[in-house]
Amino acid sequence: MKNIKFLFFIYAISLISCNSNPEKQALLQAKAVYHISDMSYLIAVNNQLAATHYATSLPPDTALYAYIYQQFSLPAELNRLMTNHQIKADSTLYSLFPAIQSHQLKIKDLVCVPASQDEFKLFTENNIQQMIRTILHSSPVSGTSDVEALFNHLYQLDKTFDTEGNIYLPPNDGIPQVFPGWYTRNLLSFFGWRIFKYEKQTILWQCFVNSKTTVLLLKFMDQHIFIATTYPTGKLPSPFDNNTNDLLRSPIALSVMQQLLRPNPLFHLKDLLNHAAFAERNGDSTQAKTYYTNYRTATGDSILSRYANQPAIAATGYIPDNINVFIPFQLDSTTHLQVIGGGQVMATDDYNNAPYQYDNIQFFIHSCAGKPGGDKKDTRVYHFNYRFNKIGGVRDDRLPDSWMKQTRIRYGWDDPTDTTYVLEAAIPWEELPGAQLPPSGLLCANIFIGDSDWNENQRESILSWATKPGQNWEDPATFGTLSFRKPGNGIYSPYTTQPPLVDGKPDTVWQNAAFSAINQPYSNQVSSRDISARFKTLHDHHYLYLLVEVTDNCKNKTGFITKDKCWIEDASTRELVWKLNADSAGPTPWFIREQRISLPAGQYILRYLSDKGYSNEGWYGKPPVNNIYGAALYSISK
Amino acid sequence: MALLYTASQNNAYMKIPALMALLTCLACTPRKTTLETALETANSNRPALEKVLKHYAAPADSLKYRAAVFLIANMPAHYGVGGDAVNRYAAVFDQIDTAALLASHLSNEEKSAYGEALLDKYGNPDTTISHHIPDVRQVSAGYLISNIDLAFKAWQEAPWYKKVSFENFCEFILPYRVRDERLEYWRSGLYNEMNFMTPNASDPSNIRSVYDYLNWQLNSETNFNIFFNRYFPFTQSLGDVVKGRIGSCEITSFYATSAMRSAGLPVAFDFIPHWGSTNSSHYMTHLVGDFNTQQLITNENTTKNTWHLVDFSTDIADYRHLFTSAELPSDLYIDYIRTIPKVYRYTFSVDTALAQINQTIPATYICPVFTNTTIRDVTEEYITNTTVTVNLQITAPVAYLCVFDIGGWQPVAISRVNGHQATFTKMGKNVVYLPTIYKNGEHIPAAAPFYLDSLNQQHVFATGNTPQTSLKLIRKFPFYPYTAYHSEILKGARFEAANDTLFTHPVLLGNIDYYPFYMNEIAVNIKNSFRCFRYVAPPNANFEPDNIAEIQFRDAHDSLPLRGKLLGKPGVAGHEINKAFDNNLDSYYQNAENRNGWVGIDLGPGNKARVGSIRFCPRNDTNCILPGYEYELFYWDGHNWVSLGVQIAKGYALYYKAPVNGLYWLRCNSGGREERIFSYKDGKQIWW
Repeated sequence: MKNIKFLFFIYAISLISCNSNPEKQALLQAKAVYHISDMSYLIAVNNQLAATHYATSLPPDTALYAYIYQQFSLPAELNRLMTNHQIKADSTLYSLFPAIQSHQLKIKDLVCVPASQDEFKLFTENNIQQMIRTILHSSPVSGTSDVEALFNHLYQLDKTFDTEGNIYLPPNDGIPQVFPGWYTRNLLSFFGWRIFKYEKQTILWQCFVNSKTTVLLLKFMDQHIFIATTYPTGKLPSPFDNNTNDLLRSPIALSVMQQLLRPNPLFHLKDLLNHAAFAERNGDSTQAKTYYTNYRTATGDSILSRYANQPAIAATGYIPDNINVFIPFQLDSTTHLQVIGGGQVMATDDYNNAPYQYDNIQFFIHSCAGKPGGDKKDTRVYHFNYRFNKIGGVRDDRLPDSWMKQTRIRYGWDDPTDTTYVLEAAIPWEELPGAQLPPSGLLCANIFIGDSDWNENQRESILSWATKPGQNWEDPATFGTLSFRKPGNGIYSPYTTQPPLVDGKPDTVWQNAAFSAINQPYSNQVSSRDISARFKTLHDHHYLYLLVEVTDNCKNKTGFITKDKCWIEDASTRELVWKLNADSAGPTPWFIREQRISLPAGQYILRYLSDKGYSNEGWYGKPPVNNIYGAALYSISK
Repeated sequence: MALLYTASQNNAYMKIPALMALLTCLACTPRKTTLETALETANSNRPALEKVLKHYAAPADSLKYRAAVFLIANMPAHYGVGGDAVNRYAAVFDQIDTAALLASHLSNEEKSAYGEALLDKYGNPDTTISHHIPDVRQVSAGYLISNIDLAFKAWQEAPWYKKVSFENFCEFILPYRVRDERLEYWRSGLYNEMNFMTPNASDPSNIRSVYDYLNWQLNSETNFNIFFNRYFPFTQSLGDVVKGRIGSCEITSFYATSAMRSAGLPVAFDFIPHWGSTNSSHYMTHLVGDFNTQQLITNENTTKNTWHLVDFSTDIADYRHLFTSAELPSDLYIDYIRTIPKVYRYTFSVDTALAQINQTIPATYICPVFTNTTIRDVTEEYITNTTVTVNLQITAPVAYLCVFDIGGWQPVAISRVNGHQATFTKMGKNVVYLPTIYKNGEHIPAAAPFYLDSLNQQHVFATGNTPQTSLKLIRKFPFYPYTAYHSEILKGARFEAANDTLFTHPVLLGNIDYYPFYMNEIAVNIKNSFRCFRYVAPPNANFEPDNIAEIQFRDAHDSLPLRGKLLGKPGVAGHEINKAFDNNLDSYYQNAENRNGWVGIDLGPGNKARVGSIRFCPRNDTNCILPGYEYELFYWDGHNWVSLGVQIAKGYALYYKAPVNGLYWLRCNSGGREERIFSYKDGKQIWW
């Protein structure tokens, strides 16, 4: 009886210890599922050691340990010196590294590395370490010889980080936070950690992988849990597989997060993916195929799932709220890319006030051709907003800009490629100045191509056919001439006996007219990559026909504002190359875009800037049905 | 003398800095007994507070230790208003936050709709459902340490660090709460936000420049402009404010105060418990220290713009017309200002005088406003003021001076009573006060009301019913400049007639060559009849879009307004052309194109009429006398408002017999809440 009581006591204790250490259970579970032969780990909760285990058979990887030592020691040491006022946090790096052009970057930026758009090149990890060492006048650290020493060092470092005046660590006291995770906002790196946010929790992580050893570090800021673990790299997937930078692609990390965080279908999808990758690496292609099939089924056969086992050219990984990501990538030759991305979009009706702020074609026309000095108040303007179902018009100076309720103008749009669009319009003569084909055979006109890029409702530049910068856009004296009788006087608009079908797709009758370039920058300079355009016209006794072809790197549809911004920019010019666009907004706020683009050889950056709503809990409406929480680029054959 | 708290009982050396810190900061921190009292009050939370003191026990942290002592010693006076019931209603802010992200703009009406939906679900909120959660029982060590560290970081990193005293730091940067909002971690996130904003100030190193910039930005960007108390009658937390962004000046100023404190600016949250000359209270931020102008508000009705001293203390727009007395009717004047009787400041430390009153006088004599001991009278920082001694007809341990509100007299000052006299210090001038005592939940008049003039003279109003005098009443509320300015948009306008809708050959019927206020009438001497009539706004109007409340082309035969098809330039939504012809002074037409508007009527083909007169009225506040409306005049008899009879207005003025030198209140029984008390002098209503 006494023994039974004792055994029951031991059982009860073991139950309590199991329940009170879910992190350990998660590690052991992953170890068992993925057949990890040797795993060492250290778990600290509230700065108290909760569990340790050091696998004696795991050979030390001293070179890797030394690198890790530096990676974590130096930012923390720099912070300590700043806290103790031994160095000034606000000193600019320029004073120490004259090669740095910016006078804005400060020493503290090396600790909390901003996702700077201007200085990103400087903030590769090696550069950061080099700068810190220079500031500290220190040489590279030789490292620790065994895993226990390394983990103890990391533990002490973490403890110091948590206890020495750390204004970042949220106390676990039940008092709500107005701005959870505020300290990671717009940061690339935080004290040497990578940043993962889930719901309102912040999880810092870092993973070091070489062919022999993997060291995974996790720090749950809100739960005050620190985990260091190492195991043979073996056949296990890692967060960096396929260039995804995805913490959830680590089975160990995923197991811990499933244990500590609220369940979510996303975790199950990643679990399937990890099992598939694991089976694939272990040569079990049948099992891998089953997992991949299940994964594709679970994601509704999303296009992303079809690329699940392919390396990405660049990928943002899981995108939480308030994050500013940039992923540099290089293309050695012209490459066709499959772009897959998702974000949140908002529908708005602000186009009623200023339709020209969106991608927009404005057609100005006046009857004064051949007669100088026409009154600008008689200029008529028609607004054609890209892919919009209304057109705007200013008939005379007595009416404001407004959508035309009654008009016989017909128009159509087409998108021959991802970066071009075509407007085809038929404007009846009675709605044009003079209300008829002008007896002189001449009209003066101009065309503006308004282009918005990053902000859909903010016009960034205007290309003009005739009117030059500084000239009044209404003044017919600045317009070009449309000639309806014979070539030679202005742009010739041939007569057509066969009216074109106005659908945006040019008929053969359009071959009778020649294109004219619209290439005069009227407002702001633009590059040909940003926008270029050309047009031609035809006429008959009933209509003036207009065909405008625009090449635009960023086609913004009127009335849809992306709340999360994802784009590719040229690394050297910082010019926007492509942007993730939404062209509809339904009852759910998210959108997913699949697009094929082609980029010439060069260096690029994949950027993603999320707002406060982009997180698993913070989706305004239901989250996406599949696992697209960011963007990824894959190389494809044309 | 025993050391009341030792930083570490196990480390004797730690007692020394703690003791030194306590001794050296007696001038700015409460006495040790206060700290001990606070720790005792904390009960089971005492270890958390002691942990904070221990955390800062090292000599290098002596200043932070003093800050911790300041917070803990004053902590018993503070609490948060919360509880499950409050949290249930606070869900409206989450809903608004969610909806706001999906919409490009969420109007106040749309936000209110979410409040209505919650009321439908839970019923009207009752403030008694909230709990007072004492800070000493809920503040954790981590919370306080985080707050102190971030406050020091913001203060010491600020360029103006050395210009802000430690005392002002403790009172106006350090506190973890402004009032009785629910506790939250707010400082870190706002600190981060402000770091993005402060560099945009015109001079980021100048405290005044940064304050002005942030105060403007935080006010203008948030656009808090409505009362939301109907849906959430509790104190909004910062999380509520960030999510809901709805409320009045109270919410705006609370948010701005917190945000600027997080950026290291010593900012106070000040309030006027009640305006002297209009209904309601006012809240505002104030930069504490020697960074302000020495100007004071006089409460005199001048055209001096004092908005920069107290926002809303005046409605003058410097670029608008200043009306001379010759341009106004003889019985009308413009109230350019709102008078201020008192200004108080929320503090973290306890006000000694108020604390003593609350400790020594039975609670039944103390009205709720003054049971809060963490407010301080700072009237002298804002307005010229004086001391007022009042002889009381009835007595109590404390007396009050109240100002008028249509909801009842509102207390603005408290004083101990000495015999039958009470002396009130730092009182604003040019305000009508009613002395009262407070007993069992109500204010009881204790003397006749009086107004305090610029020379500190008390002018007592008569409370008897005789002798009587004749009054001509034209309004029930002061005439403010924002109403008067609307007449600007009519001066220079004209009325025309024509026989086609395009007014091809218009005939001039009359001009408006003066500033018209309320309903005006001009005679038309053109004998011809016409089909169409119109009002043409002055060309190229400035300052505000063309607008007009009412136009009546009156038939020469029967004086009735002509009716016809409406013509003119379209109006903006809600203010269409028909609003100018609806015989309703409350509605108005507003030109959608802003300028060069016109509106008129077309009697139709074959129809013509001769106009004998034209009536017109600018956009207005409808606080004039409106024909057909029911009014009732009251006078104050020393205890109550006594009716002098009901009248249905037959024209644009009312005529009453009333006591001489009385204090009057004209109520409109047909609707509206804008009413103020007035006296009567030289044929004019004098508003208070």
